[in-house]
Amino acid sequence: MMRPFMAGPRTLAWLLAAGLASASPSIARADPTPLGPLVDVSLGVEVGTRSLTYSDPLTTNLRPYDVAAVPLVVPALEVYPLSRTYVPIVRELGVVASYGRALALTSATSGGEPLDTTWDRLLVGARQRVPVGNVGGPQLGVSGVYTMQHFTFAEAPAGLSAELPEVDYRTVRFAVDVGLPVGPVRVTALGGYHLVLDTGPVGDRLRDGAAHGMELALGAAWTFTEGFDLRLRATYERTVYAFDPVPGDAYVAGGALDQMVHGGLAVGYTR
Amino acid sequence: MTNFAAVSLMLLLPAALVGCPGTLDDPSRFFPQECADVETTLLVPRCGTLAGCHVADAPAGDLDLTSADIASRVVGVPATIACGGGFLADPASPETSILYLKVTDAAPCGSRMPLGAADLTEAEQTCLLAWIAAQSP
Repeated sequence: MMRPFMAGPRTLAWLLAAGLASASPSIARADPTPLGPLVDVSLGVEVGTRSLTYSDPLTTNLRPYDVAAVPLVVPALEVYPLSRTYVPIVRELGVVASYGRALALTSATSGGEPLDTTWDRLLVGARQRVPVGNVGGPQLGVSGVYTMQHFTFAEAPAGLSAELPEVDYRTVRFAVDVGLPVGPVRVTALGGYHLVLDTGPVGDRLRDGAAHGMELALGAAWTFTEGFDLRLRATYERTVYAFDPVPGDAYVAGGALDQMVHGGLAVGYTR
Repeated sequence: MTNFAAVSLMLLLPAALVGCPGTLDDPSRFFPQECADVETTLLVPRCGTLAGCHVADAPAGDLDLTSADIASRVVGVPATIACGGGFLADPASPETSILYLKVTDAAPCGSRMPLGAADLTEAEQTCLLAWIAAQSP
């Protein structure tokens, strides 16, 4: 049975320490037990898909794109360097990073012409653990990370390269994540908004492009021995575009939708 | 509202913020004026009389693209399963209409049209898109 998701004494202590109520040093130091591990490292193998479509494409140089079942390797790291200290708030502040890269990805035009394709994604940022219950109970985290995601095609002829759905996303992702113990596993979920700083060619080709992104991830982790767990995770990323072309533009479309889904298994180590 | 519901709302809020892709308010303003009579200047000669294929008498693929009121024979008319389904001409989605795709290098079935003749130019393809978009569903 799922445990109730209620704020407990630890939440109160955290809020007091944050100055949201009258703080006292004794409360801030009352519970030295960190909310989570000092280090969390994982290595995952995932399968990814990508689909990019244009809405109202009125010129013939806007190529939609679909690829499925792309294998990816995804190492990830979280470090909470002050988690063994008594410093309130910041002891639950950590550095998070992950990198994912597709292996042996080749695309093809509708005419069958192969194109070596690179897909990788880097995230670096900070995550704050927020107490919402007892240690081992529900967990809440908020994070802000800088992300870079490339989807590029190599050695395309000049005429073709101007039509390929290449992206070079630079975003800041603001996310909330939760972890809930359900029986022997911990169910996790993340929802995030991507403030898109740059999109690369797809957004640059069309006039007055604006893009927004979101990310939703669901997962589960099962500890199979002390310090090690097996993680199942799936992530959906969605970037939507709106354009404002004018007659005479070389590229004309109302918008675009870029969707990426990836998921798989990872082995994690925490201490 | 329970805390669980509040957290669920926080997780799903980004989806609401992002929304859907943009669309064009008035696609017709992007089409060149010379597309005014696609039926008689493009479809009839290029698909029918010049190629001798989609003519009224025993048309290829049972598709007559020369007789009057071509739109009634293509708009909302289902394409064959072999061609991936969809409609021959879909004003709501001109770019996925089989009539259009068949004259591009992304023909979903069979050969690119017009068979044995010069490909439609990009301007002609754009005109065909405009004609499909202008039809009543």
